[in-house]
Amino acid sequence: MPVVLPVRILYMLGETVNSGGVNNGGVNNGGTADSLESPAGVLSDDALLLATARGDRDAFRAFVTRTQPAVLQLAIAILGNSADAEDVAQETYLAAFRGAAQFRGDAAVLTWLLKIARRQAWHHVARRREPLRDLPALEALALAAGWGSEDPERIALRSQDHAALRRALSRLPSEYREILNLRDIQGMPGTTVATVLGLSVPAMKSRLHRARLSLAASLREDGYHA
Amino acid sequence: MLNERFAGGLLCSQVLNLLTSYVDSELPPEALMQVQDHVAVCQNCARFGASFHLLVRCTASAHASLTENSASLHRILCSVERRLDQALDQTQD
Repeated sequence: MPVVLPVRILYMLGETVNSGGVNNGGVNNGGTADSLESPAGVLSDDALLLATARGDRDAFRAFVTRTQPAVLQLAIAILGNSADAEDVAQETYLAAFRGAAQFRGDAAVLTWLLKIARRQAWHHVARRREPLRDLPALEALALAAGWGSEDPERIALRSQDHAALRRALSRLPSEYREILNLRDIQGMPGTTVATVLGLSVPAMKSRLHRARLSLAASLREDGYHA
Repeated sequence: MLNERFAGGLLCSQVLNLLTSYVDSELPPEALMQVQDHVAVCQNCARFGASFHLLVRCTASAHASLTENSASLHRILCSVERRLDQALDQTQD
C-alpha cells in the first residue's frame, strides 16, 4: 500500500495538484497548491477531497466536519427526522469516500456531495414516498396563502414566530422542504440548487415558487389553529 | 376569486407568477419595472408581495444557523470510520 502523506507535506515537497479532477489511483498534475489553499492556510473542499481520495483519514474527517451541517440539514428536510437523516449522512460519507477518486470537478465539491446525500435520502424514503401529484393551480395556492384576502399580513406576522414557521415547514411535502432548505435556509444560488436537484433552472424556480406559496398557506392555516 | 387588476402592463396573476423572481432580484429590468409599477397602484399585490418577501427572509433566519452538531458529527464519524476499517480489514484478509 503506498504511503499516504498529508496534503500539506505534499505541498512542501513541491508536488502540484490539479484542483479540478482526480484520476482513479492517481492525480492530474497541473494546478498549484495555491489554488487549493486559501490565504489563511485553510484547505479547500477540493483539497480535502483530493487527500481523501488518497486515503488520508485526517483530511476525510475534516471534510466530514466541514460539510456535515449542510448534508444533515438537507437529509432532515427530505426525511423529516434526525435519526434517519444521520443514517443517510453515514451512507453519504461512505459513498463520498469510495467515490472521491472519481470526482471530476465539473461541479463544486459540496454540490457533488449534496447530490449524493439527496440520492441516499430519496432512496431511503422511496417506499413511503408521497409523490407530488394533483398540484393545485398556482392561483389556488396563492389564495390559500392569503393572496387577495383582507389580511395578507397574517403570513408576515406568523413568519416571525419561528416555532410556527418550523411547524408549517414540517407539514410540507418532502420535495418542497428539500428545495426550501437548499435555497432559502442554506442560501445556495439558484443554479446550484437546480444542479443538486437535477432540474433546469426554470423548473427549479417553478418548484421553489410553489414551495414558498405552500409554506405561506401552511403558515396561514397554522395561525387559525394557534 | 381575486378581483384582478391590470396595472403596469400586468395582471395580478402575472405578478403572482413573477413573485419569486422578484423577491430573489432575478427579474430582467423591464419585468422589474412592470412589477414595481403594478404594486405601486395595486394594494392587493403590494401587501401580499411584502408579506411573501418577509416570509422568504424569515425562513432563512428561523432555522438554526448551520453550525456543527457535535453529537451527530461524532456518531456519524464513528460509524463511518468503523465501517471503513471493517472494509479495509476484509480486503486484507
